[in-house]
Amino acid sequence: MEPRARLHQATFEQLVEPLLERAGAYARALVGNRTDAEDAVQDALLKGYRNLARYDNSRAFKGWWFSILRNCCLDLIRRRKVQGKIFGWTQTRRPVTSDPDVGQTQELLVRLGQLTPLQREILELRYFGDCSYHDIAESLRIPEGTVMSRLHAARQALAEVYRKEEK
Amino acid sequence: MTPFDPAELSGLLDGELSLERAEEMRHLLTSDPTLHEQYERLVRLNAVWKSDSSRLVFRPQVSLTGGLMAHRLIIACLVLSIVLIRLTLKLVPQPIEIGVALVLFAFLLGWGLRLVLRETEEDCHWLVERSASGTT
Repeated sequence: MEPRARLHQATFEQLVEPLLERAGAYARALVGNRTDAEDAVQDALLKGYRNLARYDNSRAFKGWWFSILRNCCLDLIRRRKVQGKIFGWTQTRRPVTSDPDVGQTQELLVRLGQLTPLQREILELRYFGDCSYHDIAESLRIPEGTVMSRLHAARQALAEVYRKEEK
Repeated sequence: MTPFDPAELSGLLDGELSLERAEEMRHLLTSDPTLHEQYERLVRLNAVWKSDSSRLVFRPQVSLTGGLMAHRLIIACLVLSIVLIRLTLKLVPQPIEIGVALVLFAFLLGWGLRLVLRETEEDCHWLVERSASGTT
């Protein structure tokens, strides 16, 4: 490998390294289990590195890379749907029993499932991805003010889900 | 004081408001018990979700070098397979050679089309999100 390419790779790895744990949680919330989440993060790592030339330095790196990760997770879910049609699986979020926190994961996913896609999307980025408003705005390509109002609406909807559960 | 937007309660909770606005909001919270109660509910929900979502945190065992190597290996195997097939086809009668070459061509064309279509689909995904947020 030429020295320049090695430098690019090292820089990219340095940027991604502190984001990996939250990327794991975010992918896990989207795809529903740890094994597939790991595959999605690996895929996003490669895609991010290959598209590094397209990254604009003035934008939030975390938001940019998380949007790639999100697409990788959606691709994985789409592939699973196709496999499901071929092999007769019915679930799109297929939990794996080796996942030690599968119980808690399912509880969270069930609550998230009661929200609209827009509300779910923003909560996933905020809580699982631990993204700031700036990162979320970059990832979803929306203004930061919209992030705040959409996140607030999502929290209200989530509170309503808890209220319904308590009844 | 600028007009109050309920979404700013979330902004205050997440520490995303300017210092000046955050101060104004805190002042508003002390003077309005209903609003304070609303904010407290938000704080409790936030704490529950922060702790619940942190249970999913794990360190994925991923490697950029390994991934790049695997990708290069797949491409090398693909190229080698095509060369081997071409060489093997020299040994069989011409009609079979043409037939296999056509199948290979169709496979490569399908693969290329799939890549292009997937790219378009991703573009559409962004468009849908943008139009939903009213930024297009």
